[in-house]
Amino acid sequence: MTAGERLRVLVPVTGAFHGRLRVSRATGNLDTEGLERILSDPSVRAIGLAKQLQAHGADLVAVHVDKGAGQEVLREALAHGLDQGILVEGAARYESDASARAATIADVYGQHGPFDAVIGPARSEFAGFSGTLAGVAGRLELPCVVGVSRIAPDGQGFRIGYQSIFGEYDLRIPRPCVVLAGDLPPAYPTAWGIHDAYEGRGLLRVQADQYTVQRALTRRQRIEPAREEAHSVEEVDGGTLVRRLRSRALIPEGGAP
Amino acid sequence: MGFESEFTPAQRLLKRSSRAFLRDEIEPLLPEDDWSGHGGDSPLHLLRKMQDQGYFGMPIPRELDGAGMGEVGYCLVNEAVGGVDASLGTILGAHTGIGMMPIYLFGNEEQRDRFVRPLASGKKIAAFALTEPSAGSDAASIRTGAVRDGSDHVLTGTKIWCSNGNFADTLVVFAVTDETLGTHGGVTAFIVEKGMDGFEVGTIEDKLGIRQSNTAELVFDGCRVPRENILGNVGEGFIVALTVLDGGRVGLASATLGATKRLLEDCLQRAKSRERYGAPLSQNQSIQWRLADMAADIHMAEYAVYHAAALIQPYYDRIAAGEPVPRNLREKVSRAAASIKIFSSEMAGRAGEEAIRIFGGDGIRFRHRIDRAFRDQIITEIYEGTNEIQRMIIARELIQMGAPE
Repeated sequence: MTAGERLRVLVPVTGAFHGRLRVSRATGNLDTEGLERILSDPSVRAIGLAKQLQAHGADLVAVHVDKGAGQEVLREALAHGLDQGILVEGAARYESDASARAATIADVYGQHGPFDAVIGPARSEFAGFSGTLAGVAGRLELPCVVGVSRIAPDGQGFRIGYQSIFGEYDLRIPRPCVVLAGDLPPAYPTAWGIHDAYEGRGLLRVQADQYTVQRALTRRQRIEPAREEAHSVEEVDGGTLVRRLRSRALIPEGGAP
Repeated sequence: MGFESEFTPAQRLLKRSSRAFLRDEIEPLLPEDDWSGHGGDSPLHLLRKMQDQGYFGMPIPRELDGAGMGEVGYCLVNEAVGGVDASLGTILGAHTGIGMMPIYLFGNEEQRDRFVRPLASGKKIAAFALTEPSAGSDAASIRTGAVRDGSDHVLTGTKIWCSNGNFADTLVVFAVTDETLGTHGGVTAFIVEKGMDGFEVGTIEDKLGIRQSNTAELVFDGCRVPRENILGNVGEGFIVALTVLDGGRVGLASATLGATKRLLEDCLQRAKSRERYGAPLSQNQSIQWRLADMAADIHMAEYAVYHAAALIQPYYDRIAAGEPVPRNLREKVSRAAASIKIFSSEMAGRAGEEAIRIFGGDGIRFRHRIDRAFRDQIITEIYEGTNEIQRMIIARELIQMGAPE
């Protein structure tokens, strides 16, 4: 950002299923049919952090790598007051692959940038998202900081606040950078925001195949449960026990047991 | 259960987020005890938070600083509010459904800009003043007079049971401008502003229920209202009142729906957690039937509330655009609004009684949420036109038009 230009922040967001999750008896997989896809709670907190920069005039651009109904996830992000949304469609082949997803987000960063920061959630619906954002930082060779609850522009960088088990820290980080949101209070979209997200603000759809990654980068391996050896107790009489012990030379042939 | 599949994605988000906001941000701040003291202090700090969410301008278009979410959006928020506190639902309904809406529907461009914009954006609060000591259900008997003096009208009389009356910035007040014409041509709606000379707030009622909602007496003693504050045409005030009361009834029904859903939630939790004779209450068939009846009522009310809200939208859109409204649409709306007002309020009454039975002794303890819900629902059968008046509206239609096909 040069003097007079607005800060731009890329905000990767993730979705979550709204409703009661059940495991299908037939497949053993989660039965998500008919469940609404919504913005995940950690993403709401990341948006809350990004909005601290919006208060200083930053433009916030949400990005979502689609897993189905991604438009609703992004619309909800827009309802929270983000300025623009980029929906990466057609990424179903590798949506769950952190490395490939990181590569795609890094490509969005490059194609739609420049950005002054990437601010995202530390967790996703069923697992972490920090690996993905660490991957983004690695690909873009940007500094990365985790667990941030406060952020404000400070010269050519940002002043951030984060809490760790050792205490609360107030640090300065250069920009551009990758920031993972920590614990922030929940936020709720206003009625005006909801209206504008569905009627006004634009959503940019891009196809995943225009980016460098076309497939999952991580080989999936099925983790099998460790097989326990069967142990059973057999009742035997004294004569049988002696015969078995002798046959294994554990007692002498002619000696008494 | 529910109407979910019929809502748009924006409406579903509004429903989910308003419910979460009200439960997380408003409910913990509500006074635990609504009974002690006068009970007439509306929680203005909570209203402020709701205004900041845009909830005080739900059906008003974005061009006028409203949320542009229509009548369905308004009912969704009102349902969420009703699920947290009936008093807040009353305040929101008095502001939106009958306080601000008449100015939006019948006001000219200047009035919309001057009055609706700050009301819809949450900067100001509205109220509706029709009822008088001698004119409750018989609204045609109002006596507050408005005498023309130059280009102004001078109002003299007393209004009672005015929700938000003591803190509203903008009030729609109905007064007789020509005694000889009765309701058809003799009543006019005026926009009265807080602080106008000759307008004072009288007694604040101490009530059995909705105690966090102020219910005020308003005294007009030579209150001079300028010509630019006449709402609609002189003599057409009764049409204004009847039109917005239709929408007000549906709004009330949505808040009552929310309150009943919350009661069912509470009852279900109680039935599952309370053990008697070695088993949870929920294993008892008589309890199961009570819960099932409440759920069945809610299911039907939900469809009827949002059906009525969807019906009202084109009706109000036409009025706001100054277009003629087909009589059959008006009748259909009035019948739907009256029907759901009766059903929803009486549903809440049944649910309140059943909740007390399920909660046993705890249900009749003062300062318990169940006793509060029970006390709060009683008024829903009375205000916005008593259920007896609603039955008269429906019966009149039936006798004139015949039974529905």
